[in-house]
Amino acid sequence: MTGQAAVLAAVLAALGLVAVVAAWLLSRTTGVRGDVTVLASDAGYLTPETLEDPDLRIRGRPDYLVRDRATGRVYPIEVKPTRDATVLYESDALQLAAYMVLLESRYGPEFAGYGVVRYRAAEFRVPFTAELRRKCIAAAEAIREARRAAVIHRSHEIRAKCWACGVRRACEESLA
Amino acid sequence: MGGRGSRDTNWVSASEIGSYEYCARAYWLEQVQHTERPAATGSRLADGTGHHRAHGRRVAWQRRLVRAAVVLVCAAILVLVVHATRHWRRTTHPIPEFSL
Repeated sequence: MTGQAAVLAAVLAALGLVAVVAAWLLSRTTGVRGDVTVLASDAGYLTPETLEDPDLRIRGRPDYLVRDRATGRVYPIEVKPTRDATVLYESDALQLAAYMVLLESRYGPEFAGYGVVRYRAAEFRVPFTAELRRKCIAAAEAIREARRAAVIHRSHEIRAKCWACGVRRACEESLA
Repeated sequence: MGGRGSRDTNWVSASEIGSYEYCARAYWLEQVQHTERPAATGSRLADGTGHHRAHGRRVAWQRRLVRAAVVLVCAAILVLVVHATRHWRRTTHPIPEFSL
């Protein structure tokens, strides 16, 4: 009986270890670490949470809103599972910045001061700087102006962007 | 988020900010001029949503595995404690032998 109990305990512990390793391996591919609590998700894992700032008139739903269990701080995670890039796109940094603006206003000192962008194989921790905040608010204002504009011109010289663009066939300024 | 932000001319969504930064003209063509994307692009968008859902499922599995690990390790400890308790009782309070 002693041997049977020891074997049973060892099997259970081994299965537990396998589960821990599998969870750790998964966390390396998702960007959602094991030491965080997911508060909201727009990726179908939990109910999404729409954050709004009525003063700046910006709103958004981060893919994951998580709380670091060690520090108690909250930060957003934006995932782009099909993106293979090894450098962070400025557009993704600004989208994340918008979530950070919203978290700053919603959570105040509980906001961690950074966010995470996860691509297929790369991960970026983006600090929320005053410069990023300024760029985000300026982009929001530019969008409001664009909605009233008679025409808006291409804002880059990157051919690859045009190749990947969904409206390139309708765009007279396309580089593709 | 983009569509909803476009309907209200004052509110701007985070995804719109990302789209506008990617290319201001592409944003304007899509959201202001309502230029239709080709069907292939539409299916790529659907793929993107599918990938997000798949990501959510992976995170859900990750959490389930952690919970399973906790349960399994607790069960292992419980087995050892129950067995040790029985063993201790047997050695400290031996059952008297029955004899006729």
